[in-house]
Amino acid sequence: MELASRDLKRISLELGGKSPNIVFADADWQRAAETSPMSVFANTGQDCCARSRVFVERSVCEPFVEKFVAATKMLLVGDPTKPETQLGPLVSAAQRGTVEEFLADARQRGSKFACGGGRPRAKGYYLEPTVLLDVRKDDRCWREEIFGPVVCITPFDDEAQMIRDVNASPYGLSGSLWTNDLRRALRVAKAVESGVLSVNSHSSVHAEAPFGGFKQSGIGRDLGMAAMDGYTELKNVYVAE
Amino acid sequence: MSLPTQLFIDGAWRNSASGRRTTLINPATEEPFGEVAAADGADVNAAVESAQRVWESGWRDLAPGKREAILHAVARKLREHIEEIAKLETLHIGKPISDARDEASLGARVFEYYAGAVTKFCGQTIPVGRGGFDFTLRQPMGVVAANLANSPTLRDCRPACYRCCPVRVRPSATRSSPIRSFARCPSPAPPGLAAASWNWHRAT
Repeated sequence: MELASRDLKRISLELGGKSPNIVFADADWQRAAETSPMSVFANTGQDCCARSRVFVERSVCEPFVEKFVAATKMLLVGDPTKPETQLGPLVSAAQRGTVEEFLADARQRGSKFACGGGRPRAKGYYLEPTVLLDVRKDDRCWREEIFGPVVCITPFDDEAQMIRDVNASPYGLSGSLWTNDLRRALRVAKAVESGVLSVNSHSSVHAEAPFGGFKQSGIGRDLGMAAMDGYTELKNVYVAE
Repeated sequence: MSLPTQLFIDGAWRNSASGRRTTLINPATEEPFGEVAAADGADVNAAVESAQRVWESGWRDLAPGKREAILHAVARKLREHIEEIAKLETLHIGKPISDARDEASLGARVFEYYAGAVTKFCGQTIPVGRGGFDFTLRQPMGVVAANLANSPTLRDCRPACYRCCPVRVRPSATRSSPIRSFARCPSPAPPGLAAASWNWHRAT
């Protein structure tokens, strides 16, 4: 960006995220729990849209975590050339090293490992999908993008406080929201600071719709008609009568 | 499935100016599986100059209907080569093959979307205060560079193509070949036009 500024080169950036997955007790939270692991562990967590902070309304948090962990343990980690494989290795030894530093920090800070944390295979840059509980809001695993198979789950009591916690992040790329209350869905979707948000779904990238981030998640939009702005200059022509 | 190992610049395959190469590692096995050309500033300049030439010599002014046809042809080629592109993606970054296929077909879908957009993205007429006739145009920006470190294969290139911007692509260090593989597909565009407007190389 600094280099581009010298001659005012136009840039468009799609960067990182620490996207929330918000689950209200009125939602089909069972379905949310079953589908949420792949919303963070897909591509072994190397996904800008990874829903890596899960906020669950306290009354359903315990059974949600139980189901989430059970679904995580069912994920098939292994040879990426096999059609049934859901999680392959991380992209490089360096990336796995970075993720393991985050896990070491979580251990030191006293987070609870509900599952994962280790290397499932001797060969290949594999790492188990890892579910962290009791992560503090100033821990690295809560604040920073890990870009690996690690998720933090936390209960919440109050909607307004939860939204403050969701937005207390330098990022604002994506997110999911689970509720069957239409007014709440509209209210929360409006309040979450992110470029993309899905309600009762984890689908956030559509060829036809704009994709990009608020805050430090980027500048400009990809996909949809909005992407055209990044590749064109707008010219105004005036013709006298 | 063979591994494209050279740089695609000015419509042809070549080694890097420096002759340097880098080794690719399969993250699922930790084994090296090939060596590819490593580009530096000289190769980038060659690619940008080529793109600029192509832009000025006709790509910029190509009629919307012709652009639309070319983008649809690109999408068809992509669909024909989905399996090859997906396998290379899996080999390079360890992405599960079923996800890699989905991603490659999203790639084709986005080309189709922007093919359709060619004749639908338009300016305005504005009733300015002093009278007369006022209108806006959306003019292509020119040569565009895309750094695809974290983007699904080729996604970022398509709006650029739509607007006739020649593209210079820099895949990330770990996933260059799927993109090269696409460049290897027989060009659906008039020779010397689209072929030369796609410059693929790998910078380190």
